[in-house]
Amino acid sequence: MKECRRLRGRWGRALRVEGLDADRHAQEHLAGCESCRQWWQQEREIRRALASLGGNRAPAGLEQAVISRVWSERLRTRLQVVRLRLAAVGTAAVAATLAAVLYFGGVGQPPADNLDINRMLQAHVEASAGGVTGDSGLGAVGEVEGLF
Amino acid sequence: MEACRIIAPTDGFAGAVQRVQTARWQPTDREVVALVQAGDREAFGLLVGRYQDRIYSLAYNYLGREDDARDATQETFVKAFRQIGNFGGRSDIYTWLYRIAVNCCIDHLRRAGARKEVADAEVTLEMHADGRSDPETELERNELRRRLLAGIRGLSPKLRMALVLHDVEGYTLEEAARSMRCTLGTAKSRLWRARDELRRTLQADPGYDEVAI
Repeated sequence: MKECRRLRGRWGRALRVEGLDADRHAQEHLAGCESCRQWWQQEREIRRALASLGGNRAPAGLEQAVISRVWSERLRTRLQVVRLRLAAVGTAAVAATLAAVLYFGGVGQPPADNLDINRMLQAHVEASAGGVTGDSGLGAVGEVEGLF
Repeated sequence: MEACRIIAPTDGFAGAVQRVQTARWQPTDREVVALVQAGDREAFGLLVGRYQDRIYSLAYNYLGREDDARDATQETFVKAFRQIGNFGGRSDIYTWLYRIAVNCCIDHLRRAGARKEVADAEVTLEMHADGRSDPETELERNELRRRLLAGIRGLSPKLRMALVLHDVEGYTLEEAARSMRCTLGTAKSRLWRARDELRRTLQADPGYDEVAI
């Protein structure tokens, strides 16, 4: 009984059933053990049935379907790359336009803060001129220049 | 002059086909891969033609459904085409393809996990007949195959792959281990466990007579 269990474990692990035919010890046991003989017959049948499940042929049209899918995937990938490149170019163009609008638009119309600074500068110049001539206004500056 | 025209390297795939037709030249897998890598995209069709049956058969026996097997086969070749530029030729192209196929099948099975119950109920089997056995024996064999297919479905993904690669598709243990990216010892252990579980499933099946010790 123990020998049967041990041998069945070993036979079950055999990679190929054909190998057992050359195993003398196995053959001696099988010759004297009806139960193991039946077990082995079943094992052989299972292996044979398993092997017969393999070797299916691909259905008709699969090759064409595979190739079509490969090409469509390839086309999709290329389109995606083109789309990404266009998006990058578009983003750069929009950014450049925005920068141009901000830069060139700012020269023609200075911001309100600049006007205040100009006014402050003018007041400062006027105050300085008034201090030198004891007068105020641009006319006094002209008079000073006339002395030279 | 004529010979020069035929062997001109710029004649691309059309030239390759002409060479095959005229000189019965069969490009090796490596030559086909080199052609595809060089941009001769139509040469990829040669690889598909050579390996689609084996990959489909593996996918069918692993997934158990024709439409799933078709999808997995297509995914395998699409992935292969995408990655063929990275194929360095360290292994054979078929080992590389089977490895992709194994991954695609396992991914497919995970994705289809929710449909498992439906798939289990749909064990279909193409009837085999070798013409040498009597109809009763053929019927019994087909019944056994049906039980085996159902039993294979019950195995975990890794055990199932080991059994399908070795016992069903007839790969050597080394090829199976390479395809599953595992050691020889692991592949062997998975195969034994798969067989044990399959035997137990068959024993539990009321229609199957197991010889008891």
